[in-house]
Amino acid sequence: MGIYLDNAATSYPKPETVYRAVDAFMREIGASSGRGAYRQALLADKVVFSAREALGKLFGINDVSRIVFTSNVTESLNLAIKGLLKAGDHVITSSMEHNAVWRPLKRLENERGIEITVVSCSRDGSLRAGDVARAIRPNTRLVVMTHASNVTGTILPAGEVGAVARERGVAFLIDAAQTAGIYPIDVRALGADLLAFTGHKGLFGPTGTGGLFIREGVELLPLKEGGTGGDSILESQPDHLPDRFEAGTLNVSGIAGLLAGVDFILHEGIGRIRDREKELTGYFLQALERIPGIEVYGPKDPEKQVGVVSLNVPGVMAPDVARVLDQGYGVMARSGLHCAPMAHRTIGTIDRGTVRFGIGYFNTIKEIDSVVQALAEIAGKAGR
Amino acid sequence: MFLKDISISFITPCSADPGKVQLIAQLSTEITGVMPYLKAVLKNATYNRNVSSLTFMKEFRLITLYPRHLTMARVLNTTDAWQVLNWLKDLINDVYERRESIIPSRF
Ligand SMILES: Cc1ncc(COP(=O)(O)O)c(C=O)c1O
Repeated sequence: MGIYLDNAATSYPKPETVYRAVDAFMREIGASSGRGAYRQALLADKVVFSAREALGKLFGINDVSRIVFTSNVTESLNLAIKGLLKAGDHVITSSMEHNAVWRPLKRLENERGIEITVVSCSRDGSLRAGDVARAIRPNTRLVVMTHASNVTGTILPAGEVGAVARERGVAFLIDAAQTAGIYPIDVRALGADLLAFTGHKGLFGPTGTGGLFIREGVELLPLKEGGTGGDSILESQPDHLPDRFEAGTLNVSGIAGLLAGVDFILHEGIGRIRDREKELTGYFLQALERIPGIEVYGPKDPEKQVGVVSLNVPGVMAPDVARVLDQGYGVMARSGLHCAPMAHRTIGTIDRGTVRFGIGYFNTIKEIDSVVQALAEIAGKAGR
Repeated sequence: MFLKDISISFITPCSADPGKVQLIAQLSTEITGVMPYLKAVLKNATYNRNVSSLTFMKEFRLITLYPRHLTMARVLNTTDAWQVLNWLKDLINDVYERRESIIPSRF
């Protein structure tokens, strides 16, 4: 087995309980949720409800019917953005966004004539809440931003921006793809009206899971219509949550795994997970400082970032670094623009991309040592 | 804990009547003794001593408690059902805990 450092894309390995939960669900329950009345259908339904409860506990959400399941954070962001914004609305976002935010916004700019203001972040990816406040206009409907960058790991000041949005009566949507399960999140403390999360990264669930929290009073149009199990006689989607936004059979086997993943996090404690990732990230950043010439992006401070580290080796193209790491050292890291060209423009790497390391809870100091050694050798050869 | 579990044993989620899911749920503990206390706490409840049943509204939902089971009508969906059952379980346990400080209802 190689060294997996692409946890920012998806977490691997998962806790043992996650594999077992998916297997047990598929073998022993297997039924669809919210559809039938026989014992196994009710068990399936209970699994889905328990997953909502676990997520509610993790994110400080009391009314768990406000959590709707989706197939990933991309779908959640599309639902929130397209369900909320109307012609003439103004939206504010950051210059560190993933295409999962940027492309839906650009589509609505073309199709609905919404206006977009991009608040510039500094070269280390950080954002000032005051800049968001200054960008608010009378027709500003939404502030949407990532909680932490998937390129530099930079944590954005979601709580401060949430307070500004609340005060000015603007809805606030957080893309928690890189923080859910890794960094403490409380929707009340963050002032989040909408929290989009993916199940397969820090939450340790299988791919194909994700969700959106929708605060009471925030009205969205559904992204899709279809069967919900109940209210079948109605010709339109029911008004009540979560059914309004959950047309079609849910990924119950995936959600069973997600439940196990979130239970694992609740059991370990988010503080302990965050501390471990800080320790590994800090160790990696310090070791990188000792390799001459390596260019590291982002805050370079584990307090100010999650376990995502982007870098370049002078004289070697990022894809070549990633290829040598893989083929020569068995290290799995990702090169390129990481679906976030805006972020690369912000940090000055749009023309060459970066090599990105996504550190996870199950990585070890020994693995970090091996990666550092490999990078030192690659940089050494290039410098010769 | 006095009442450990309330589990749905029958539900009609796909009924023809929108917004009118009905369900039956089983109680893991016999609750006849708590009913007069519940009646005292639930202002709008009707207590039938003869058949040991307690009927009340939780917002728009109609709930009838029996010694070992309950029925609930006009539930929004299964998520709503589980949420209300959780609320009910907590309520019954809370009333049981505090029963010495509650004057039980006789009617
Ligand atoms: C910040 C951010 N937003 C959105 C996404 C999209 O995630 P998913 O592919 O699970 O929808 C990612 C991850 O790729 C991300 O890092």
